[in-house]
Amino acid sequence: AESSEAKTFKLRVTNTLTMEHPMNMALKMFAETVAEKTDGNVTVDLFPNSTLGGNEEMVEGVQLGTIDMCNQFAGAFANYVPEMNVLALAFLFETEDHLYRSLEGKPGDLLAEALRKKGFEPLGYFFGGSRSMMNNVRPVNSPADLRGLKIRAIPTKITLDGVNAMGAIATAMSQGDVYSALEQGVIDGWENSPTTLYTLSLHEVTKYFSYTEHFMTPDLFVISAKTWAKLPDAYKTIIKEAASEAVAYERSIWTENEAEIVEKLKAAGVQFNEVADLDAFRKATSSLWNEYETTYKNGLIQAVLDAR
Amino acid sequence: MNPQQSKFLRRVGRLNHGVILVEKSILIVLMLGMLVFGFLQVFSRFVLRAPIGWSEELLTYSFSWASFVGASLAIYSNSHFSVDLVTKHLGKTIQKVVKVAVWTMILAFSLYLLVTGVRLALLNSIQRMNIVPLSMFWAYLSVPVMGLFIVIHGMEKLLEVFFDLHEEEVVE
Amino acid sequence: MIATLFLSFAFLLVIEMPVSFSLLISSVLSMALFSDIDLISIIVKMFRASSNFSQIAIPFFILAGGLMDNGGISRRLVKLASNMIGHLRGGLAHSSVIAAMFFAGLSGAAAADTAAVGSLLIPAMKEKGYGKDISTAVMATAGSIGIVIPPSIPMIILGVTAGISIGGLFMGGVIPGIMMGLSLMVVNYIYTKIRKLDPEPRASFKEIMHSLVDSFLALFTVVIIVGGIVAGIFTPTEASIIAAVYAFIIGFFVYKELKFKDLGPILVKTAITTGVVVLTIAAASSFGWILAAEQIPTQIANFLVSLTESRIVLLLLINLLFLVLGTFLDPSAIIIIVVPIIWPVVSALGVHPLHFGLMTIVNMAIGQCTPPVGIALFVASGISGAKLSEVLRVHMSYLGALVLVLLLVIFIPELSLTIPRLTGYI
Ligand code: NA
Ligand code: NA
Repeated sequence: AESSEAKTFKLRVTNTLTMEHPMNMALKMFAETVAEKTDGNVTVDLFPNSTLGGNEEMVEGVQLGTIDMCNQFAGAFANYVPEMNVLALAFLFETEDHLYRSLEGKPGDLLAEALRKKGFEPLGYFFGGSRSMMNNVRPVNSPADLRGLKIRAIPTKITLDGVNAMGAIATAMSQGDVYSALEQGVIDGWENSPTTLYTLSLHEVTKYFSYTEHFMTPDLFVISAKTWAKLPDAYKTIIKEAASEAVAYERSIWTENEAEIVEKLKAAGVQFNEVADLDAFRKATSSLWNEYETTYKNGLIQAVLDAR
Repeated sequence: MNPQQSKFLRRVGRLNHGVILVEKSILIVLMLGMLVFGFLQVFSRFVLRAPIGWSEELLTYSFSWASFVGASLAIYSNSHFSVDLVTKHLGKTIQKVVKVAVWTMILAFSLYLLVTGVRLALLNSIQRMNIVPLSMFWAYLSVPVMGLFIVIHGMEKLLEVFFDLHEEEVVE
Repeated sequence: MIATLFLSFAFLLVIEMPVSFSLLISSVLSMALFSDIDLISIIVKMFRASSNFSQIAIPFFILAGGLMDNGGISRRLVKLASNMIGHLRGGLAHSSVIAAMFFAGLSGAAAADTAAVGSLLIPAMKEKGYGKDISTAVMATAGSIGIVIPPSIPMIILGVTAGISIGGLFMGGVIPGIMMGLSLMVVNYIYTKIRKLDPEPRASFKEIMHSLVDSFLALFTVVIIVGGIVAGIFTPTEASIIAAVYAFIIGFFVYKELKFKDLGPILVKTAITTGVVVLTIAAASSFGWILAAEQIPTQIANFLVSLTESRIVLLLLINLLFLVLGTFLDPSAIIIIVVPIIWPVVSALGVHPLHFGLMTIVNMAIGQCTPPVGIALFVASGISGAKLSEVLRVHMSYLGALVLVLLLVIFIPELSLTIPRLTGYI
């Protein structure tokens, strides 16, 4: 994206989220910083709300170079980079800090290398909270409580396997159909963070929220290798720095933002409960870690465990 | 029309009949397949309570295929929706010029679809589907296939309007 | 760029280029000349817009209709309907509207609604002398009610995009949806008078009972579709597949009127109609993608909202913009591209979110049946085999009725707000 006279670049960044979402607040800051530090030679336009296409479509667009940048839950990149599935393994990350240490350490380096090979230049990982179980039947305290419940999960193998291992009947369904499916009872529940529950207005059709926190999947903020190759080194440095600042900012406001949202959800009648027996869930899903390791044999699991 | 031209025309005609047979077979197989997998999707979730995860994805890309092959067959049967409000008021000669122009552009664009589609299918061969263990190459292949079929139909249509032949109604 | 895009599109339409190709060729042309984005993005978007699970309802409701028609189910249902309401003027056209409103309560998409009801009733209306034009126009416009009466996919997208209560939108859609249906029935009445479509003689009780018994298994189609969706056994999209499977089983094994050799042509015909509809939706998505990526609707919307501070003038301007965009864009595209810009301004002028939401949705419903890109119109004319020039005059009357309802929804907020208030959403 360059004009003939001055070296100017117009970059498009997109995601599925509304403008009020912490990640878009961070991206606004990113755009301002980049414009300021490049004297307006690099402009970043934000396309929220899936304006340029849905989940798979935007990752594909970035890979092909028709879209410059996007941020997406990390598992969405696994169709190109199967190693990314490590970020969608249930209960692998114990705390937010453990996740950050992994992403900034050896596991992060291994993933970055794999991403670059397939045409993605990683710029950083936003925190997307933890995904927990929600349903309209009963509060979930143990795997037994999930038995017989049809729970919508992200339609990828690793997430479906995870939800099945936790004891539920994992049901593949695109996000757009979830509202009606919950209302009409085609599914009993789904799983995501309080923030997503609120921003998708799904609390209108969701009764119980149980803090299983099974997936701690960050959002990968990424730029197309095609776009990246066109940029001069000086701008690359600026973009990397601005991205790190944006990521740090997003992580700093996430927790507070989510706490506010949980209050709003409680006021709207969603019942929250802490989960008594998380160990039972961990035990039920740990075989998936081994499965991953035998599939890819890349030492990622061990590297993540070492980062604890 | 000289003998060579009419020989060429007959060849194009035969080629089109072959393509139509292929298109119809693809469509029948896809539609029946979608019926079966759609039924299994409901059955496995509601009766067996063990949903098959891959049915929705398989249905979705079968649907793309059926739509695009249906769209190419629709070119042959003149079923595409168009705004037929102005052209009918034009004189015979201008009508012919316009028709030749339209079919030339359709032909050119479907050539572009064919070439770009092949390129896209190859570029997407490194992308796997979400659940079905296939490369996205197979889904994207529907685009150049549609392009190819329309090129073949478009040739016959262009020849027909150019030589003022009567259009055949092959598809019922 | 915007001039090239629209002028070339208009030119291609005028010379009778198929709508889908007009959209695609003008997109490629203007991108090649003016944009920094790789041209392949048009084809990528075209492919991605076609791979959309919820559109699967289009072919399978049409297929179910084709199977019912050949399998003797339609004949029995039409006989029953004409025995019960044939003595009323415009009875069959009215029942098309009522059936579409009823199905709107199950499905969230206009195309699915048109396909489900139209595949049965368009052939029936043609048979009873309504003509291609009336049967196409009434079914296209009635099907668009599918997104106004809940559930509704565009309402869900709007609720998420603008942060408006989806449940509130659902409740708010009831009165405007019923008004749309009633307005179409008024047009029905006028046309049946003009065309002198005289009612049939009233059927005797015995005849009614006889057709009721005869159509028992056919009626069960409705029970299965409605019951399955309401009981949460399948989604409205999946219902289309179940309906087709059921129609096949009854027509083939029970009534034995469906022949094996009919199956191929029915499947192929269905796929052709689907191809026409889906390629056009996909092409319109490509067209819309370029507009979005070049931020053209954003500029227009920003310009519009800067024009006036009068609430009612602004609302009328916005609805005009929606109507224009609705001629060639899909509701979800308009909502995600334009609403985030317009809604904050409208909100600041004190317009209630549900009032704004409902006028948007009614407007989008009209867009589903305005040419050149109107998916409900495509589905209806795909079933009836009508060309645009054959239906346009009549279709404009039905559209006019819907625009009248839109104006009422704009000027009388209570039409959108009363039921949400009664059900506790306000
Ligand atoms: Na509806
Ligand atoms: Na339209």
